[in-house]
Amino acid sequence: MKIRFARRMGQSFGLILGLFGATGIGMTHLIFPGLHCYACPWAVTICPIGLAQNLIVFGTVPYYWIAMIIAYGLAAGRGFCGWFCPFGTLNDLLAFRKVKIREIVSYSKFVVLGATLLGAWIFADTVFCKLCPAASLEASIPYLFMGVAKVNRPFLIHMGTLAGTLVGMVLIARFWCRYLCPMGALLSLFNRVSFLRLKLDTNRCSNCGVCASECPMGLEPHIDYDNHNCIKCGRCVEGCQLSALSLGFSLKGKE
Amino acid sequence: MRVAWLSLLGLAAVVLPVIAQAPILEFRIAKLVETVPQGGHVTLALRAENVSVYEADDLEVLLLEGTLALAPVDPVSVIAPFEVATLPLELDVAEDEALGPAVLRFEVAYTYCIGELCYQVVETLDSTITIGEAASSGPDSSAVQTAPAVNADVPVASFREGASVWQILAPYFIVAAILGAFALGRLRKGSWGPTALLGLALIVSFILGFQLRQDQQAQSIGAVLCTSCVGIEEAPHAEPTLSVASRVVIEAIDQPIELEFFTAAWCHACPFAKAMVQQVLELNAFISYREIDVEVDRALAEEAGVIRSGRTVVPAVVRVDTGEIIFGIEDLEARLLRLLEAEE
Repeated sequence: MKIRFARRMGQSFGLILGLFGATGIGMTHLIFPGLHCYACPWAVTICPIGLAQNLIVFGTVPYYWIAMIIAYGLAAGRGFCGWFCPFGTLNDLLAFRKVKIREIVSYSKFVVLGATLLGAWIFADTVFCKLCPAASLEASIPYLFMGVAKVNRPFLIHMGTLAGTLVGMVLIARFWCRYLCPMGALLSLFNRVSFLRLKLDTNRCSNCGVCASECPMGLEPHIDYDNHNCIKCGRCVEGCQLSALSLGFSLKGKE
Repeated sequence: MRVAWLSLLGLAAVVLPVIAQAPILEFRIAKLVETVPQGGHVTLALRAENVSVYEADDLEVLLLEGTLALAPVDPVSVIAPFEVATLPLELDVAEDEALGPAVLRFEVAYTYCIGELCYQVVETLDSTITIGEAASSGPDSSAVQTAPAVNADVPVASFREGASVWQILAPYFIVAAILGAFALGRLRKGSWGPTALLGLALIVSFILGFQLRQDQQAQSIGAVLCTSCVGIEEAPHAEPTLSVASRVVIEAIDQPIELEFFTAAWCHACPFAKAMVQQVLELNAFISYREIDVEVDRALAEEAGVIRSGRTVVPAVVRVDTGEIIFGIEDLEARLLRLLEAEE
């Protein structure tokens, strides 16, 4: 109960930060620790994936970006997916079918990330943004009502990717986070060294598998509690009747 | 196994930026005449289109092969992103030049920089021209466009002049530290090593990032919405053409109209909008315009109202007297006409 409440607070904070521009303050220098479109009319933070593409187009070696990604990665790794990212929250709200993850397929995130960066390099353009479902939701639709965007081919492409992702989310819990999110791919690289981590007390674990049935990412915490796909949402911790799992901060690498 | 993969990735990260850059200019040679008489003179037009967002510098042309004499060509110092430069190639034909097709092989060379790395590109272009009898009839007036056979050489990389050693080596250090951290994380689980290495990479990146004002760069990227970038509309790189009906309407305007054109360096849709506005200007001397880079002059963008909830939207055309604004390039011709026709 406690974890869930704290997580909802974190997600609300993420959403508030994401839409803080509604108060009238403009764009800040902050990079958002999640997938949140900077073209969103109310965004005050920069999308890490959009920025990465722009910096590739400019030919800037992205020191500031690298620093922020490492900082977020070290702090919580994919914890931001579960606790902060507004698009992750949308995934969360539609997480009905917690089917088992296909480990091999989940590396498709890295293909998306690689294609995004390579596409920016080859076409000198933000190719991913034109397909991104977060941009569909957070930029295309608001700008349509503000009279800047029109119903044209790029708009329909955006709506297509958004519809496809939404259907995917309903059929597979956290579909976007599992298989497609390039920011999730970046953060997952840091999952095993991040300070926020999931811990398993093997002496208490009875291998009942309740945690696995609770996991929105379709992982098996009782077998592999340190998976690179773990978003550290703590559903398994709440589900575990024997208190074998716990979520907490520790500074040292994996024991 | 994973360590091997990581080292391979690291190697690629070091080597790829140096070797994998492609030419950024596309060349075409346009000929107005196909046949030149002996002892005559011919002008070919070399069209160089920059198809990238980088600036091409110091374009030079030489005649490598061919018996014709090429008058010295003035080098073009800068071709801005998406711009086109046309160079006249003046060729003289000798009195005793052999009849029939003459092969011309030009060498073009230019440089461009991405970050601290600069590249020199050297390409050869082939074209032919027919030499006719000295007394033959006048020049053939049929306009022929020939796409030259291009033989591209691999661009040669070097470091930008004035880059400090610290700035050149830091990226390699950061890449090494990050890869080292991941490798160490695999080899020696539970050690402080990865965290320490990542922390080090983080600190170096932060220092360099702030030194190079990349936080401000990031902010300015976020603060400008280019309509084609996030897929609000498509960015054509083709030249716009005004319809005859529009031309008539524009030519009929008999009162001064002042326009402001807001643009950003990386905006893909802006050159199209700019080209169309310039065509309008050519038609009617009553219409004047001013180009404003929103990154340089944000205050002016704010004044003109091309800011939507804290975000500057480019491209934008503003009619100064009515304050009316057009965003983007979709259906631009019709919207531009409505803007110009509107009564004060």
